[in-house]
Amino acid sequence: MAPEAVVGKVFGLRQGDVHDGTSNRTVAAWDSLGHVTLVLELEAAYGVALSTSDALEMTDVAAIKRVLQKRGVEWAR
Amino acid sequence: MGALSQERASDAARAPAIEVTRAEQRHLDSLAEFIRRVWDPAATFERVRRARAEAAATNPVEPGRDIPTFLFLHEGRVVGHVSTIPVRVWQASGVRAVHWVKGLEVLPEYQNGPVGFLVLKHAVHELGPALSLAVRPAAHRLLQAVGFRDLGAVPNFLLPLSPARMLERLDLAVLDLPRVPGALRATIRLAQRTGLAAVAGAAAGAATRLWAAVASGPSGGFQTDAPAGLDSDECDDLWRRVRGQIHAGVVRDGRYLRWRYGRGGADRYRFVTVRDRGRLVGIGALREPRSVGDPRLHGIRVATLSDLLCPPDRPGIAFTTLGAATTLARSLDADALLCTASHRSLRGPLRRRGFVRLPGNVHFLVREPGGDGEPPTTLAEWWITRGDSEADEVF
Repeated sequence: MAPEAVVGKVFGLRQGDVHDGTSNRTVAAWDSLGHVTLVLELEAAYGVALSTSDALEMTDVAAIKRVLQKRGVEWAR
Repeated sequence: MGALSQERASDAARAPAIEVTRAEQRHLDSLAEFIRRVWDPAATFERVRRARAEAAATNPVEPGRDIPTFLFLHEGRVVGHVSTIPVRVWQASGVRAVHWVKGLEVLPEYQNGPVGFLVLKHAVHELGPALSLAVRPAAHRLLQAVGFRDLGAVPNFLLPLSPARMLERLDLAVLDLPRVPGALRATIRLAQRTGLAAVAGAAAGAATRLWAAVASGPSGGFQTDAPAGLDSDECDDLWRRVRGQIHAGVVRDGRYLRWRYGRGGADRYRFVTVRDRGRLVGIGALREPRSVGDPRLHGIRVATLSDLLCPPDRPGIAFTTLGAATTLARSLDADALLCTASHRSLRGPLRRRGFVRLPGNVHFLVREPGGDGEPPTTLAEWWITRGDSEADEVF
């Protein structure tokens, strides 16, 4: 599953509407609690443990991809 | 959230870029910087140190002990903050220490991330039982996510003292009253545009006074006063008589009332008392009307009845206390008197005094880890007022 799909699922967005620039500034539902939910969903989807530093960094889809790649996560593109 | 919740330990091991912790002396510089950005541009290390020392000295539950404040630090900089107010709470089973959780703030560049959730989670884990009065929906959700139960919005009651002036100036669009019906909003806007607001306001004022006069009935022979201060022993005596009739609420004894409305705020609060054959039976703490500082009010001067204490089984006393508070608010040139009160026994007296019930905007939330001494689950069983958790700081 692509990170865009996880973001879309958490915030109720169509996958086509999610792109690298989709961020906690552009999605109304992406508040602090939404962010924590997103991190949990990413951990579950990719079987990784994300740190608070990771969570702080993941403020948009591009950053999420960067962090996941750093953690060795791969997904179908 | 395995990794997130264990982050503190792992971060600490590698000289933390991130730390979620209770505020200590070593954080004061960074805390002052945070306060400067969020609340007070004049905050300095020394002012913050003095304020914390003074708060500890006057701690109403454990004098001398620091008031718990929790911080999220990123690379040594405070980016998130939660504070508390220690209080004792009366429940039918007795008295125990709890904390109001308040002042959850995150720097703008860190908002909508993990900071708010994690600092709050850390705080409630350390605090145990806690209460909160929260306005913002995002805060309700966060509080519920860390185990608070939302008992609902505490009802607001407003008594227009100068309806003409209020109608002329009221801006419903920017006031945080989401459930005012659309038709009422439209009518008020139309009246403002056509100049009919002053006429309608005068008529409303006359109607309100007429209703209060008709509904008031006999005074009950109580004596009212507006003293400069409260006698602690008399307050203790009144609290002992009242507490047995309420299921739960902050202990409103003499020590608390003097701490809450006397310290530092002596210039902001006025008192009214009601006596029955000389014995104190009712107290009201009125926050002086404010018009400056809140652009939403457009110069409308709203006084707040921040607290009141009267026996639930004698509605005449509540009614008389409200009357005395109204008289005092008028004498202070207030355009309206706001009372936020949860307990069911106060609704009748408020209605009979002509107060209009408005949608509540302050939610009351309770966290009871472990379930010991389970608190009442309905808002109307709690004695909550606007003065609790210093919620009268915001309108």
